[in-house]
Amino acid sequence: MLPFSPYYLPYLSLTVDISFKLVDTFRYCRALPPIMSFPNFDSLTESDKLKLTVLCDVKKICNEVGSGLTQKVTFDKQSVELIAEMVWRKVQDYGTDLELFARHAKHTTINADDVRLLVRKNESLKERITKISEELSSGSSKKKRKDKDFDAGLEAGPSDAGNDNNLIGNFDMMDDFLDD
Amino acid sequence: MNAKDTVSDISATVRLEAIKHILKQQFKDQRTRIGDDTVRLVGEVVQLLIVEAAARSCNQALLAGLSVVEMEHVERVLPKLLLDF
Repeated sequence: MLPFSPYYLPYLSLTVDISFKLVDTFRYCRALPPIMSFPNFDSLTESDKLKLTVLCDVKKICNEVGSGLTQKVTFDKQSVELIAEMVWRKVQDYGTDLELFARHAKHTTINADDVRLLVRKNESLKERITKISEELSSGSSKKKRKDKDFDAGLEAGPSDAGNDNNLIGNFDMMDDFLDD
Repeated sequence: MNAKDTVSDISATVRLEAIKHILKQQFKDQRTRIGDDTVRLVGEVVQLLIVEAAARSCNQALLAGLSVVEMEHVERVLPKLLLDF
């Protein structure tokens, strides 16, 4: 019933000795395996990992914005989490919207026009997106793009394992979150 | 006020691969696909969203005379931010 794990060993004798009923009720009340179970990377779900990735990125960007000001500003943990949560939901909304836009235009692949439709309410953002999408479409053969950082992430490919830009499972700031 | 005047000066970026996965999670239809260039555009939007959120809440904190951004500062800029994006 339960996967064999050394953590259960000390408790096996207990479960035999004490009444089965009590321990079993305990087990089924909580969805988790009973006593000692430490969360590890495998026990996180896919969306937990994605959420943590977003949190890492938001934290990095926030720190950089804060330290770029003339008067240094730092972010406390809760505010970074709040921004990350906002971004998380926003990207989910974007996903739903983009699919509907593409379906309305009767194609199955989402293209740059759908993204432009997504940001239609913000004039300056729309301009920026239009500019970038033009650059992308014109420079796709030359690979000449404005943002070098994105390029590093996109073009490094699987051969460059040291580049952490496009790896999801890379939690380089994980220690900070696990501290408390 | 800003030492880093343009968004392009921010070197930390969102991971596009993660954005792609989150978008894909939301797709109801399995046939829906999204190209790398499009993900890049969405990544740009998300990047701007984060930078704006950070910058505006920094502004709020500085207005309040603090050098630490707390939750209330972010809360105060959220409505306008969500209208803008």
